[in-house]
Amino acid sequence: MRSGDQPERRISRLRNSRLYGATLSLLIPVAPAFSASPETGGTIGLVLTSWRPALYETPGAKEECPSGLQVSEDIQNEKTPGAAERLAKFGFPLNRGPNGELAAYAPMKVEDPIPFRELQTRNGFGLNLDGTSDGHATAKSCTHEKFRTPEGVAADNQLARVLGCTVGWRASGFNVEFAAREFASSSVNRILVEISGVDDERNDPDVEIRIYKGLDGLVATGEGKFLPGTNQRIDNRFPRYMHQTRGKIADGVLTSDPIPLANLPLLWVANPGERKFRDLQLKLKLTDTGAEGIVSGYEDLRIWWNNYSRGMNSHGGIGNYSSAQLYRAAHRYADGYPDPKTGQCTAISAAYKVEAARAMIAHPALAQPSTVTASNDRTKP
Amino acid sequence: MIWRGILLLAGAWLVPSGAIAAKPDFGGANPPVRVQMTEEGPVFATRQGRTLYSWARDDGTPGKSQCTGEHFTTNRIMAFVFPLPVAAKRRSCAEKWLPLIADKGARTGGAWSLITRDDGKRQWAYAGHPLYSSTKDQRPGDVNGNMERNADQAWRPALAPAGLPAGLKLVRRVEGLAIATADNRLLFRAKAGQGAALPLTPLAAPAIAQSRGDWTVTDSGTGQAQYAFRRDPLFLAPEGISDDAVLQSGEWQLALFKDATPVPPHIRTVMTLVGQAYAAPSGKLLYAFNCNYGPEDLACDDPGDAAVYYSTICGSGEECARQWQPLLADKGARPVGEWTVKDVAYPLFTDATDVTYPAGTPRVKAWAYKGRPVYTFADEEPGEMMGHGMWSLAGFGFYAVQVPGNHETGR
Repeated sequence: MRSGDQPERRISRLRNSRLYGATLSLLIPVAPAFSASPETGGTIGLVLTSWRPALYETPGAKEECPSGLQVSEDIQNEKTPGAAERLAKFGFPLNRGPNGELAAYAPMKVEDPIPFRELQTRNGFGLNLDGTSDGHATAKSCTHEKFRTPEGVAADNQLARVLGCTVGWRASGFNVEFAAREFASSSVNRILVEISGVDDERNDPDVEIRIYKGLDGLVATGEGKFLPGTNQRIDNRFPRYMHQTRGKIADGVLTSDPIPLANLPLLWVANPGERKFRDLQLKLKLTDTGAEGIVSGYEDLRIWWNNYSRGMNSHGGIGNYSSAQLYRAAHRYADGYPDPKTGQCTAISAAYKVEAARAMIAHPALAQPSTVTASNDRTKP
Repeated sequence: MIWRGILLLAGAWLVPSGAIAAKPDFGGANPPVRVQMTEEGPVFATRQGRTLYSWARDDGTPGKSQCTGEHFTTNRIMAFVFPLPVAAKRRSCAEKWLPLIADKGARTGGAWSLITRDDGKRQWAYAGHPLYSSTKDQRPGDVNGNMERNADQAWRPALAPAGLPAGLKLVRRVEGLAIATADNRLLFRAKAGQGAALPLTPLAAPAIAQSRGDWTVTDSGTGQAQYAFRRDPLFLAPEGISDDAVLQSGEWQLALFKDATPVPPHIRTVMTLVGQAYAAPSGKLLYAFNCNYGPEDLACDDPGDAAVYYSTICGSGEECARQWQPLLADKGARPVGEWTVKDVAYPLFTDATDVTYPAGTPRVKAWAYKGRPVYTFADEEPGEMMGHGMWSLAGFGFYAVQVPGNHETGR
């Protein structure tokens, strides 16, 4: 079944099927998060399969990190006077704060002796979130440096300056690979994108885009790809992860309008949490089997650090970075949504490279795919 | 065809006793225990009602207890040796987990045996597992000792036979203790006058099965014997229909061995990414501190344990008190189910290099879940889950208090 099928056609087919009688009693009455779509035209369903920080990387990081990569929390601790005394006093090697705090939970209580290695390239990935070409301050942004994308477009992605010289977040690093695997394996991360009102999948000046949290798993192939066309149910228990905007498709590339405020669920290195974006935008190149592109917005720093620092990430030695430095860098580079009182920006522009597979997005009010199976059909012998 | 499959299953239930045991069989032994009903089901307990546990670590050393009175001062993690915090005041395993010591007249039999501890005392064991009670348990029915997050080191309540037909077990769900098959298929009973729109498969009983206690054997209507629990015939979801779908149909309800006890009226339940969790009246999630550390992976979240386990996460006593605020109990608040009211030190400590609950620290009356004080996280807004998993790799931290039986694995 083509993912461009209209909901009415799906209902019609369901009604005509012999499964309908058995299925009807199992439908869940759900108050829809949105009103029924008035859109005509086809629908494209996508399920995100990959989510990685969009970093510009060259071999050996020589171009973007000429002063080298960050050193781990372990090394920072060893070089900080009093390491042995702290260990004897508190019993744990990385309890570096005056009360034995982990730096992840009290980053401003810890000073690192080895300086932060700054990202020093103008090349990068992302979207132009503030609409400026030079990064001057606006009502919703602080002064910052822009990146230049491979297409020659000015882009905002200050998070890349925070993470870009950290080996754990660069390609094949522990954090990025761990997070990539769990992004696919955990249904916490199941993010669905439904594009409706599609008259032409190559060019359509006005489509509707809805984002949901999904419930179901992905089906991987032997090559590490994910099968398109799987059923993906909307997890209607979480209206806070449902968002809606409009967009356009030009030459097969979907560009969304900004979503003013969007929470997304994200299991991040074994740590269930969420991210809070302002002005969330999608730019996805659509293919017959899925999509790939950029998801970008201003990430609320309070939520980002909380999600980032908990659990396994509380020990920066794992990803070869220092929590104290990372926290400071994130606030130093913050470029979105200045606090009206202090002028300090409270959010940071962030871009993620995402991949998606086409999917059949099942709305709760239509059907529960897990119950629509052949063995439900009692008319069969 | 369906019946054939179910009968095959039923064949596995045939046991000499006729499959149903109403009371535990001590086999001639005289352990100083009684059976106590808890939220986890019937458990063996001391005569005073303290739940008894076994320890996974003992499984590897049959006839020997790993939980001793040794006071360790260091902890080895792989090749590294670390000093234990406030080792001079650290209690031993046997001081936190009290062995069920046998007296001179102890008589073994059946599943009940004795082991000899390192200090020469004899300790009761059930099914080969040495038994202990937990200092965390305060009232008959408490099962507060099994909230560790490291399953490999788990302390398990010593479950007593629940009188179920062989092949069935109890599963904790939000609704209570549900009866399920050994392969985790839930059992259902029809709601009054319903069940016809979504017929399920009767739970077949073997031909020799007899009625006993709450369990009866009825005729399913086709000549096949069917189990009933408290007079309600029991059913299974047929292949291809999930248990959740059965419940969502509205035709059926779970066959509950025991209803869940209520929670205090002002405690809310909210949906989170880790499943249903408890929340304060404000909507903020409730968190409990969970700590296990040391060579014995010993609980370190009791009053008088090292303060650094907390300060690692939240800093000074003052800052911890700002971040983690106990859910205060109203005057006259009374325990409800697994919820109790405790005197909680606030702040928990004054010196991060000493212990919690130091003398002279103010106390507040606060709610506790399974013996652990519950807190809201000050920097979180309702709907957020910022405090969950604020932990150290060493094995301690704060976690959302999840509604039992409704945990999402995130996997």
